[in-house]
Amino acid sequence: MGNSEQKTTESRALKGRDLITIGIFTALYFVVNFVCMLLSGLHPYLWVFMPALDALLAGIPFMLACAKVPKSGTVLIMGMVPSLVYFITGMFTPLILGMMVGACVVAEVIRAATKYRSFAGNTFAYAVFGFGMCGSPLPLWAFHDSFVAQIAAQGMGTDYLAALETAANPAMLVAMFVTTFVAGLVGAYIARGMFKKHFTKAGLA
Amino acid sequence: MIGEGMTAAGPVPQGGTILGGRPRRGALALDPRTLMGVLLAASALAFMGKGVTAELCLVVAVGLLQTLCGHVRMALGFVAAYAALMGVLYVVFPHVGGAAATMFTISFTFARKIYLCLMTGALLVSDSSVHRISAALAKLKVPQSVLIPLTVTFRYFPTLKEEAAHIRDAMSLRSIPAGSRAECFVVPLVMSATSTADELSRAATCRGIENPAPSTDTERLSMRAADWAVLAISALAVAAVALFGGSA
Repeated sequence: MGNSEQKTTESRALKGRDLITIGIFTALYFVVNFVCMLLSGLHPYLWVFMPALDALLAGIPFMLACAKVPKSGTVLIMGMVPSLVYFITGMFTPLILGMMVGACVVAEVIRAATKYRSFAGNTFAYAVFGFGMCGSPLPLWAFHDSFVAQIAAQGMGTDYLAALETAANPAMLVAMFVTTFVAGLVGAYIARGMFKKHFTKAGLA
Repeated sequence: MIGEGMTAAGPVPQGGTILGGRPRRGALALDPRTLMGVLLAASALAFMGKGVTAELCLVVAVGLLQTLCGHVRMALGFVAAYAALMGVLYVVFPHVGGAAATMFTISFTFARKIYLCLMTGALLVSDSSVHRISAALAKLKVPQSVLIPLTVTFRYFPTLKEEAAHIRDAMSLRSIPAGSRAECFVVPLVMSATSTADELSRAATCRGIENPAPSTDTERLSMRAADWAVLAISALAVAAVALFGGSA
């Protein structure tokens, strides 16, 4: 009943039911995201490549949400909800929030330009969406001096500071964005494999 | 027997009896919006250069705020954890070194930077229900199209956890090769999430979620003198650190 109705009326405005669907898939996305966040505490390099890991693993909820709610705003909400949760729980967010909004808006534009239903369009949107989480390790560069000064003040040895410099140099910043983008493409591809193998058969997407 | 704070139905949390009344635990009962303001101040403070003394004062101040709101244990825990964190950062890592030091220095330093945010966030989350927080966000003009998914997300976590446990149980009954473990876990989870989404949205449609008129809310939030005072103090703290904070 609901499905046929949704397909005949091609309304682009989000309805209550769409919001709930997005909420559920955002919960799935958030779990993946949170696990990656926790892992990233283990090592500076893990932190730098956390957005890539996140993009690799979170493809399924993103692509399913896009498939189930092919309207504008889906991705924006999916990005805003985790940022709000991170803000409320006190994990430093102005940078995450900024990156998220930027990435989500670009992803929305890509989806709108590709009419919401093309796999390639959604894949690109997902790869861009991954940049949102780059806001988490971004303080490494944005507040580089204050970080290094504080670590030096805490008394860490010079060899550690040298190692930190290599982790936080501009080349790594570029590497972070590139790997995140590529991981996003791969993540979307994995999601498509899952779609073909399971979800389409079950009538989900 | 019906005593103080008790009715025939059982114990009633103090202050929670009146519709829209503030839940009161300690001397202060703050509006969630106030704590969000403090959170903003804490985020601003996080990356401003400040001396160790200033940092210590701020941690103690937020601890005091937690105590005043009735979360004494939380305050003690956070201050103790801060002491431990500083001890590890200043004494253990530089002098002992080893793999742990190289691994954790940066994340611990980061934790030190955002410590005030973590403290305020913990206070906000444990001081107010999801309902109160979303009511406060609604008052702050966050659109419904973000708030509804936000509350659904929050409320879906327990179900998600339960669902994951069921799947894990079902998996351990069969012998599933390690290679396809992830797939066997993710697929049913996503299936169940999808059907939950369908069921939930039908239920919500029945209950009038698509009604365009603004809905009424039992949560009545208001800013009081104490709220403004706390906000003013946090603004002052930001200004003070900006002016005389000293360097990192």
